[in-house]
Amino acid sequence: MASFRGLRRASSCILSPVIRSRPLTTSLCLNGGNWNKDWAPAALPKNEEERAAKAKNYGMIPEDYKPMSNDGTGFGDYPDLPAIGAHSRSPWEHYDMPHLKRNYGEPMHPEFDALSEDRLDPAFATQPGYPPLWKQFLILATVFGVFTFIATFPIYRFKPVMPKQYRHGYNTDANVQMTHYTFEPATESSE
Amino acid sequence: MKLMSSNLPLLVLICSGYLSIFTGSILSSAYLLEVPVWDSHCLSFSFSILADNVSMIFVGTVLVISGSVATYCKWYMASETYYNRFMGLVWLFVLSMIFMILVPNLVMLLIGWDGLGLTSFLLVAYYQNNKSLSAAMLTALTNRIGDVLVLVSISILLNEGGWLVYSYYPVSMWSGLSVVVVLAGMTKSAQMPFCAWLPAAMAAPTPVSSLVHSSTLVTAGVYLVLRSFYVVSANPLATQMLMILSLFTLVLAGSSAVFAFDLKKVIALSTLSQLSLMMFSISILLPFVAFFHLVTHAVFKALLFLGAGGVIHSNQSIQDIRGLSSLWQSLPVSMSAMSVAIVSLSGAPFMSGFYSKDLIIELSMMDSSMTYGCYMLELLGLIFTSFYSARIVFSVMLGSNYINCSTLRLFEHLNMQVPFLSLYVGAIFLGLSLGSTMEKFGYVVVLESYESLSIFLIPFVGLAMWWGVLTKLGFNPWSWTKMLSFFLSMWLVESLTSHPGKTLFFKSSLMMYQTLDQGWLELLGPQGVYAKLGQVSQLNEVVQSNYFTYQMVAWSLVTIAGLSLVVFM
Repeated sequence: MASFRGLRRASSCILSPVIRSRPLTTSLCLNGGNWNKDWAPAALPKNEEERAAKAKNYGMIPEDYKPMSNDGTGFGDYPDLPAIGAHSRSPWEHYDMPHLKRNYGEPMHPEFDALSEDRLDPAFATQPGYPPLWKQFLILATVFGVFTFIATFPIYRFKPVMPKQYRHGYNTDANVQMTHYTFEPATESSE
Repeated sequence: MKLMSSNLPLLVLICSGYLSIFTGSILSSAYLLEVPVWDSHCLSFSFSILADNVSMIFVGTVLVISGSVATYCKWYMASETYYNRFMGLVWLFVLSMIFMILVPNLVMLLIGWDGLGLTSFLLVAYYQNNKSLSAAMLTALTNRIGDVLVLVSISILLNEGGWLVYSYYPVSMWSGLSVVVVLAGMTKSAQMPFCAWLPAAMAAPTPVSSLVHSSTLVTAGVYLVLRSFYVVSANPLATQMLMILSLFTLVLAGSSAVFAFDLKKVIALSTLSQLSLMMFSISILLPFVAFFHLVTHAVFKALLFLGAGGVIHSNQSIQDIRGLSSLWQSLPVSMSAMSVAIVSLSGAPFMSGFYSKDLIIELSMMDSSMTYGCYMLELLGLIFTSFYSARIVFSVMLGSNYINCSTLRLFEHLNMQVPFLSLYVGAIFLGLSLGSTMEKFGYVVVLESYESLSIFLIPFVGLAMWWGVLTKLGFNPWSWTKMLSFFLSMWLVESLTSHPGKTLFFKSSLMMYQTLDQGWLELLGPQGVYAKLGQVSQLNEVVQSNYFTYQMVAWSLVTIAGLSLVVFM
């Protein structure tokens, strides 16, 4: 992971003067109708006034506005929004676009098309009632461990069963080959 | 009369299904029809159909249930615009299942196996909204794992010399094959850790749920493991793994069903627990008993689903059991169907479920190789079955919650009642009939009296738990809330098996995009070439704009070099 990060950082340092324009989204299937042309990436804000203006442009309050890190990947002044899938958003709210669980003018995550209700929800573990992800793993692993321990603890219900008595069978108890019965012709009865 | 004539083909289908079950139960020999398709060197490839008592009974069950469901759809889906498309998908689904049952060849079986996955995706996503598409994707992708595992099994079996896995007796088999086959079966039968898709697939229309969760899709996994029993039983690791995971799923599904609020989800989790019981039965080397339970369960579960569909359809599509009560007054026929199915499900004496389910318990009691822990967990899982059965009875049928307490008798169409009638027969008499006629289901059970009594008491313990636990939990809302979040997410399995994998790929794909697509490929590809060409052309420009100077400098250097050579050499 570290090597990947290093590579990425190195590549972005090298490329930052070379690459001049990049698409905002990584996917080709973005529904352009939901996106606003005023949200095209621009230069990062330099002071508080510019910052407030940028926040207003994206329909956010200045306290919430935080641009993405300038790592050369081309998002410019676009806000760093949390990746919350539609699955995690309240089902009871009256949205302007109920099928997307989204309101008009609401800033969109760059991967918005992947966060619809039928796709991803990276924020699933933050729903109320759910513990954090590591705790979920821990709880399930503990339950499964206890379960396996109970199921495999070597106390057996002994049921005495006679070995099957075939004509020529191997008796495992006596460790010998035994003849249990034979087919001799019946003796002729006296007339 | 008109209704009867329009339903005649379906009624014939149902009758032929029962006939097939009866024929299968008295059939003493197996018939294999094999048509060679391709032969090269020592490897042959043929299309084969196997008709033995197992496949005949299973095909009969599928025909009975599909005929009943198709009749039911005429009422339930009557207002659908795309009714014909829907029915086309249902029949494709049934055909895939029949293909899967009859073909003993793994390569050909893959067509039926994959057909089930594809048609189930289309049927679950039938209502075309985000929820149903999400559920359909989960169903299809989990089933794809099973498809891949079947492909892996095929490649391993190819090394062994044949694809007829059903009749394959292991001689020099790689032991990993057993594990692969078991895992393939577990994906289709939704055993832990692949169990998240089954409750999610409830997004499908109720008749489809009735078909999918009774006799077709979910039982395909059990059927595969059952048919390749020789392969599975050869490896103790595979049976041990199957035993632990099936017991875990049994208790997990049962306890989650106790707390679930969605009526269809309760029934889906009940299916999951019964499937686990079948898998458990196979893991203790009782494949035919598992098959017996598979058949009886298919019939009474289809009946239960159809009854629940009637309830939902007649109550403004309310599925939450907190919003349904006292329905015995308004929907007596549907409620009678559900009652028969529930009584059979909880294993009440002399119903179909009694013969198969109790046989599994009794034979597992007689098994000396099973630990006490397994036995206790099995009993716990079965107690949960009667627990949630009691919950459905006391909340949906008899309860009174003042929200939806209509005492008006609702209209129950004949197309709804006929399937109930056809499945009543199976839910009540099929266990007795198969148990007495089929030789493979005949076992001698020798148990002590207290052990027999404990089996008889299981439904009553479940009832007592319903009364004792659920009523007490009501007084402590905090413990109720904490337990709910745990049980409603199926012991967190639902969230852990579906979300993290997708999120991991999401994040890693972004990282790869930034590193490769935006990074090295751009550097070495178009942007890098563009930059280098720019540099070269700039250099060229400099050279060309100062052409005379460079010529002078170059020729001066050449002259100096020539003179130096002449002077110093």
